[in-house]
Amino acid sequence: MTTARLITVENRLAALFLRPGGKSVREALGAAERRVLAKLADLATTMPATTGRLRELVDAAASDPEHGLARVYEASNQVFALAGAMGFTGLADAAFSLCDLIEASRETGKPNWEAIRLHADAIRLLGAKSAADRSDAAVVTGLKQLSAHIQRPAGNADSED
Amino acid sequence: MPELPLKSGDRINLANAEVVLADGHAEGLEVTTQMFSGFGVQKPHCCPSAREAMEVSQRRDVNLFVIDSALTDMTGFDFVYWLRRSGLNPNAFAPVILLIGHARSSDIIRARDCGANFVVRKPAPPLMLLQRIIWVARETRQFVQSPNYAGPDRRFRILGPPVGQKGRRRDDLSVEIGEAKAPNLEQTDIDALFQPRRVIV
Repeated sequence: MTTARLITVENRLAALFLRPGGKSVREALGAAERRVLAKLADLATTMPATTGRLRELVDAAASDPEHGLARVYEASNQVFALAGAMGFTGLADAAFSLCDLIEASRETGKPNWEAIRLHADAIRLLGAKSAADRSDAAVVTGLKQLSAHIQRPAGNADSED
Repeated sequence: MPELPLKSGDRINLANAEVVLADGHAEGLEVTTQMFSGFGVQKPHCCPSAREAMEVSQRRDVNLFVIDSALTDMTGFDFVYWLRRSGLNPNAFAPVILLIGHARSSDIIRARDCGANFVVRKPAPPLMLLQRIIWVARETRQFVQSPNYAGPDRRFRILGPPVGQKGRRRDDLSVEIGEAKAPNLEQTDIDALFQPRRVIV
């Protein structure tokens, strides 16, 4: 059995918060939202290039699956975070589905390259569309179904066939 | 514990806060930096790598770490693990908010065990992040140091040790009830407890 030592720590952040001056919570949130939206608008213009690079990473991963898929996972995770922040839910969901797929393939040790390429193609297409069209529900639903089908244990798949 | 601002008209002052923002993705780091500038942080320390975040930790007394799980040279989990065991005072005890995107099942365990105060799922809009910052500023949990874990107490509510296990803390109570140390109350004494009484204020 291990022994735990408990330490009472001074919360220095609380003391800072309460210093005179600063700004109201409303002002702070408003300023943060304006700045973030402006930055995201800049980044939205680079989304086609970002999603295009993701597709290239998938091609490159075939020769070194272990490290290559790790890079694809990181890139897809980044697309998920940015697209989610920009409100492109379809693109974010597609990127999340690719992360799910790669994670599942790491566990089984057998990447389903066809499904991974299909995801990367769909992400590139969604990333290249105009902002209003980046949430193609039908495409994303199809990707999620594909990802779920591949991750389903073999026994379950057989029972439905 | 002083009352912290929670209403939209309340004021917060983060102008002189020493905040470390670490994210291995340049775009993500830019977004987080803009957010904290909006919150009023004048000079956040922006670090794409754990090495740079470590250097800042050794030079400055940091008030808040906001660490993404993906850094260029190691994971955010490993950085927080290092920080908590670094022996740097007061930074080893500074509040840490860990940001994660898609989380593998193993990441959930690592996020819980690395010693972060709070784990926030991305995308994290300004309102959510400010709420979490206020949360960690209100933090009253003690720090735990043990061979297997260093960080804020993972128990938000003190409910005692898990059923069937002996507690490891000095103040953990035994689940076994011992012998009575005083005679039982008579029924009349119990009834008296429930009888209304006139109280002079």
